[in-house]
Amino acid sequence: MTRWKPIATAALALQLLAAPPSLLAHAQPEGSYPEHGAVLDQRPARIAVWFDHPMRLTLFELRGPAGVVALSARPGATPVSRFEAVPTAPMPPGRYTVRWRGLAPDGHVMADDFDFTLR
Amino acid sequence: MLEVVAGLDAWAWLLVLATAGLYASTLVAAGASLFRLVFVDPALPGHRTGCRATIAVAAWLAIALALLLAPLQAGHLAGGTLAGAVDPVLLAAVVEAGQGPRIALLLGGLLLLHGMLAGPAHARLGQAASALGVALIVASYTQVGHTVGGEPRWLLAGLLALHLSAVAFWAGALIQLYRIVGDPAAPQQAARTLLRFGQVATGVVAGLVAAAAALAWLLLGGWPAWPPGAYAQALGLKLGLLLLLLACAAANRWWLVPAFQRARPGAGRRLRASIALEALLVLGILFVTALLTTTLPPR
Repeated sequence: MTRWKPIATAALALQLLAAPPSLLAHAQPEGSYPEHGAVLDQRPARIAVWFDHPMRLTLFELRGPAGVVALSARPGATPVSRFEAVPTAPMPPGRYTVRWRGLAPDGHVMADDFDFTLR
Repeated sequence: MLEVVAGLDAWAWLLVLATAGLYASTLVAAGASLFRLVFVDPALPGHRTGCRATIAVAAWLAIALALLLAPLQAGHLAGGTLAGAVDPVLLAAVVEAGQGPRIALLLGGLLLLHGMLAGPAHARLGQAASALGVALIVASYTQVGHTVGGEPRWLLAGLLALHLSAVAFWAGALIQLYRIVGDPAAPQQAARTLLRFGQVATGVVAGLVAAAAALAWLLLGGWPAWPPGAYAQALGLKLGLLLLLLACAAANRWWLVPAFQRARPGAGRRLRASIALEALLVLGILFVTALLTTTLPPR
């Protein structure tokens, strides 16, 4: 114990440190439209997000100053590499947040959101 | 990272805490079983009873959290709603995505750990059941995550299982070592157990380091570029906790354990405090890991 305790602790540290590669192996969002933080002069023709692996989206929601904005499409049961929808309701100027949730192919729950501002 | 964490809704917090609790309780339950199989001195019924209590409490906590996991994930997938938690479509999606087999293996393993609680008449059978339980618990973690999509699958899963066995060995040992060091009635037995633990740790350390390196290499073909943003900050926090863990171990190595062996006044109390701090740091690391796996996208 005396001699090996620090070594065993270091090994545990290595083991726990080995977790980040596993996380990086998850399906990841590769981009979105509008981009996170974008400032637009006109309402976007579409809202989109895409991934490096197919993702089973379970929630895709656009929320703005007037609340939830209706979209032309909803996520389905089939995993997709790209999902997009067209806003079908008025979009007054202000800050908008797109919130999505999904299941990655490796079974992990994924969640993210991105913002844009409409002038 | 703080911005992302501050933006988490109550449901996401519940999921993070339940996930971290599940990691910790399963590792402690499995680790305490391994510890009892290998280290507990039969001449010390107090230590045996303490180990059994740890196994029972940790296993039932893990069972409760495992049963909550699928509904919590389904609710999170719906945006943090109770309706989502009981939505059969979302629950089925969670189960089909690997959580079903994972939870089934986990529950089976946790129940088998109770074999360790069997009386002397069925001790061997109980030990065999408990060992199988540890194997099922470790196998459950290969049902989701990075080893699922990678190749060769059997090798990745095997390496991950080796990792988790070693972590469980260590996480379970911390609680038992804390208890043994604090037993004023048996200082000699404590020293003997500490020595035996160190001897067994030799093989564990070798396997653990080799498996960690092999896993990283197989999955990535090298180290990834450091991701920016909240994810990197969380990783930085995790690394900071790891460094504290190492500092704590160094303090034990050069000051606290030698002092305990020489029966210096207060040495046992200080060593216990150090082991407790190590356990807290491991909990912190598991919490950050749960945060990373459930809420922060690596961008």
